[in-house]
Amino acid sequence: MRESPRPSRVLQPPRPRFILTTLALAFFWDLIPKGGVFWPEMSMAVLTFWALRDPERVGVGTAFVLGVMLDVGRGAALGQEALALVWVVYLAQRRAARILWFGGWGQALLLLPLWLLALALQAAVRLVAGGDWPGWSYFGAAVSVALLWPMLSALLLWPQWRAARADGAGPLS
Amino acid sequence: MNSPLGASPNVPRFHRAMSPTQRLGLATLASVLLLVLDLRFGALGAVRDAVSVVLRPVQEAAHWPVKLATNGSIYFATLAEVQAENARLRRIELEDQLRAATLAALEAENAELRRLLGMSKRAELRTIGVEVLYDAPDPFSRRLVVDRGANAGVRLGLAVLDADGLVGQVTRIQPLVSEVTLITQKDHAVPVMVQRNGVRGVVYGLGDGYLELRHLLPETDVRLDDLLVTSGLDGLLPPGIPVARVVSVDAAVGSFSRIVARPVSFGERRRHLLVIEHVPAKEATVGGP
Repeated sequence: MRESPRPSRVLQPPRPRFILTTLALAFFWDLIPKGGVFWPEMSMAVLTFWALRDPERVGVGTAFVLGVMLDVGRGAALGQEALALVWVVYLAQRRAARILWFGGWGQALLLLPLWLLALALQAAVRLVAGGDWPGWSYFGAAVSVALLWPMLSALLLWPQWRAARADGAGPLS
Repeated sequence: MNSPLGASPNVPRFHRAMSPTQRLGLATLASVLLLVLDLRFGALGAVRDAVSVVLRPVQEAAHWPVKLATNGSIYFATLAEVQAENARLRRIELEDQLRAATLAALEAENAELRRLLGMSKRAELRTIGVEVLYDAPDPFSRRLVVDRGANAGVRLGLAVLDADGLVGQVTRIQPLVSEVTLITQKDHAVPVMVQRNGVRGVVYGLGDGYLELRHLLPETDVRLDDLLVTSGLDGLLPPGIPVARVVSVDAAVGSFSRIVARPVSFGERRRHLLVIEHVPAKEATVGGP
């Protein structure tokens, strides 16, 4: 568990069940056929969040499993999303200390290149295999994730703050 | 809550066994292996099906918001019923239109074939009306998902038409839905002939909505506005279905001329399509499907 830059409050470790539920919801969202490219990739966003906040539980293995399931669910090439998510998680976790030092918008700015890389990786794989070029708007999915990030991370952090207050005791007591 | 992450309890143990870089390497290797097997050899149908079995309920639930959105809100329940009725009628109308349009051509062709070959049974066309559910959520290909699958008799490779011509081919089937790859998909090939003179070639999707007629010598007689129809040489598509109209014939580049055609169908914008199965006369006599 990494500390937030604000020292006055203490974060509790997230509950595994909460992690799973949020990942499942994000996965469900990504399976809804929405038509249009600017919809955020919620699986990628939520996965990145937990990879940063709970690297003990959510890591490369989770990214791989989630990616394969997304690929099957969306009828994409098997392994493309897995490859992309694995790299996002790895790179995010390597930079976690620096990224978490910033606030929501700063984090989004630091993470945006990783998300763009994830989409670029998938595009590269598919174009090599003879797929259609989806147009530059394809990368809009990463931009919308970045725009959503401050709100999303605040929302996902909220239960941990609440838990700290309900206990009335921090981890130091 | 039924979680999609069955394997995650094992992850922490996996963590400690290897360094992050090792884990990255292993996962990358596994992903690339999957990609090669899938894209290069198409060898993962079984894996896909196995995961699909688990995912299907989730997928079907995920389609609900879309269905709600297209049918209007619950407030308009009666309107939704009328729309469903209307959709059904339109499907029937489309089937009738197409039958009428192809009947004359089929009859003429059939009469000639029977005269030439002494065949006694005519080719049968079986049709299944389908409705487009949505564009496949994969931006790298041009595919539609339609509301009939293996349970309704849809099979791999069948032709999909709208009232104007060929839209695509069934490329993946599930029990309740199937996936149609459009002819405009990059490098999707359809064997065709020029309706005017019977010159045969193959059209390939260019990925930008147009098709290119390839493998023709420069002196081949193809003109602007020629209609290309299926030649039926692949044994899957029935012959004579309109595919595309030639929109440009460029002088020879190298040893081939570049011939570009525009599809005659409006498949990407139509909601109701028709899957047709071409049952050759010989099979039809041996015993129907």
